[in-house]
Amino acid sequence: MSHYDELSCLLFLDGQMESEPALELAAHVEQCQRCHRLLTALEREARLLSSTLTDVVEHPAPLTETPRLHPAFPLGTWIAVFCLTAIGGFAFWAWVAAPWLQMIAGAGWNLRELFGGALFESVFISSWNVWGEALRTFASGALLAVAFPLIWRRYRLAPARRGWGVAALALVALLAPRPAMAAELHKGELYDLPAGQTLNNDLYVWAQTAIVDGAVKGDVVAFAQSLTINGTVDGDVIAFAQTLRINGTVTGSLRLFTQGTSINGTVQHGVTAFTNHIQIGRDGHVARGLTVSTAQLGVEGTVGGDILGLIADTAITGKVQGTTLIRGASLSVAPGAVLTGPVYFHGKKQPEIAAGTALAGVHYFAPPPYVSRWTTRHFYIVLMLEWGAAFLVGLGLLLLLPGTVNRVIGEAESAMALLSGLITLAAVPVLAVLAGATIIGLGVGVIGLGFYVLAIYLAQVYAGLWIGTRLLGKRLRSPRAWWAPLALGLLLVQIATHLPYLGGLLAFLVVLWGLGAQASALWHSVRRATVVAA
Amino acid sequence: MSSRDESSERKQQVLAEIITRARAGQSAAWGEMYEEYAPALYRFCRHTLRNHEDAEDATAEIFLKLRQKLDQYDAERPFSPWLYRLAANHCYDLLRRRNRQGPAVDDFDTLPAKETDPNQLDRLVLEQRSDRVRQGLEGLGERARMALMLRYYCELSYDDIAEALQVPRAYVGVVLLRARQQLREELEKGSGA
Repeated sequence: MSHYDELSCLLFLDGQMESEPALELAAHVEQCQRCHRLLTALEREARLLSSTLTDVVEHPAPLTETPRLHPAFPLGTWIAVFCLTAIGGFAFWAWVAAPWLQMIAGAGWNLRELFGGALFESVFISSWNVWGEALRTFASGALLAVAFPLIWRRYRLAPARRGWGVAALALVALLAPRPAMAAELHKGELYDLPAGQTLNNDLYVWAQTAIVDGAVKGDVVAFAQSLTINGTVDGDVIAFAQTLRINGTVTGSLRLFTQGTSINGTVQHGVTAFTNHIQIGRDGHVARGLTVSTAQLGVEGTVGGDILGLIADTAITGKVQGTTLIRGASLSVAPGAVLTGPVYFHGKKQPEIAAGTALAGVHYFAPPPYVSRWTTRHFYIVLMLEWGAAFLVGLGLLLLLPGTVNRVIGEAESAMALLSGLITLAAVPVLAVLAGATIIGLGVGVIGLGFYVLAIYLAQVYAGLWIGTRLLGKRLRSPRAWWAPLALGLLLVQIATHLPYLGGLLAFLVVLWGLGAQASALWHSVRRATVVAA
Repeated sequence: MSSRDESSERKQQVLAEIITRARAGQSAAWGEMYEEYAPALYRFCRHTLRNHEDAEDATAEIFLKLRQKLDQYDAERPFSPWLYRLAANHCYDLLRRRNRQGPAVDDFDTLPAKETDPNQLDRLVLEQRSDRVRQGLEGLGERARMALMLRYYCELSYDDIAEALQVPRAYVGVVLLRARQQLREELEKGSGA
């Protein structure tokens, strides 16, 4: 007697057989003990599977304890939370933060200046208010852009209410204080401020060729192929240009991002330049210091302060009244040049100082002979210390936040981690600066940057853990068993990121990868929280 | 009509009403739906993904997808299979992302030549306890495990399983049988046979 195979019996049990063959099988089973036993065993196996799979395994806390999606809190709750937060914030400021800041200020540090003023007021641009307003407006806009869809989704406003919502937003937009745009804007192929004309405002110009023959009583910000200032600028000049010529007078500072710059006029403050070549002509006069990163610097005129720079080739024939500190390939000082301050030159070639030059002193620093780090004992000690520190941090993470570690490692599986790492690496500092544009946001920005730096450090720990778990066993069950993968993975990361030539690139990739995994894990947690709380 | 049918019909009506309210954007309805389906979905994800944290995340993400896709649900058809198909697709994507090559793909055309001895199978089944079977399931390939979940936990039809696993309808039986045979091998290994 022939028997039915297992597949036929399974299809019969699952009701997947046509009626005729099903009847035949049923008839056969009544007479065939073997097929009957097979059918019974298969049915029993199916029941065992069903009961096993429907057995409770474990309930995640959020599902058992807070399964209900609460409707939105009533308005009163939000107001109470806001008031309590405000009171708490004020108390924190009055009793903790302010005395602390005062103590720091007493020790000679001014935090506001450190984080805000120094960045924008004294170093970059004097008309800080315009930039501050612009940043604040941008930050508010960005917040609104993020908040609006969230609010929209959360409340899913009924059509009738939507109208009111849009009207309210429009009203807020109308009533919101606008930044006073104290500036003159020009866009076109050619911009020319004729001689004899005075512009009593800041000047923002986008042009192929921009010429200022007249006077500007304010800052000049220019994006131009060629910018020439023959007149007077009573403020700073910030230029993004291919060629910049200063033949007139700038009473403030020069901040330059240019291909080539020549200064034949007067700059009454300092010059900061990222440029290919910069020439201070015979009639050129920079009253204060010159801070540059350039391929070529020529000084025929006068620099009233220090010269600090990364400069490939420097030629000085004029006067430098401060210290000259240059790191580069060559430095030549021609006869007749006057360097009142000392000269410090770091480079491969000895500086060429012509006889008859008035010099306060020349200090030459030759680069130390190349010694591979891998041949020094110091390198291995540092490597082990770094490894040990990262290992301890990793162990701490595993003990304190095993769930988070697991999530981050899970995210590291995806190649998308690299992309999100790149985005996070670039976006967080920008967002922190934007947040810092408001006084309230300053703290948020600084704290955000703190977490950012921490996350960059932790990137190696997560990358090491991932590599270790891959090598010693995928997805170990207990985080306690992770110390060995952590140790091995971190060691490999340390070695890889210190390799000659490739090390830098690998370190960058490790940062992108680890940072991206953390960002993705955070993003998914937030999304999860949104679903549970929405 | 039996009382069981009446209760099932009543349940369907309540569910239909919840879905209607959820579609209208009522948060309370989403809460009820979450209460009703989250534990079952979590269990599905837990078995499929074999990891508590991933299962928690996946459950939440499936609900997020459900919010986006509820409008596509055809109210004339049963809700659970549709939801489990959504869950299966999501877990399948996760597994695919986890293993770059995607979950191991079986060769549908071949089944082990070994003939099953009904007595031996019966003995094996009678010997097993739930925890042993659960352990055995952990040792299965991803698709085999998911196939068993869809059939014996979600009680999906062969059509729904075919759609969820992205295999031809005619091969669903083969996939299920192969999964059960693999499970038996795991159980035999475990009992030292």
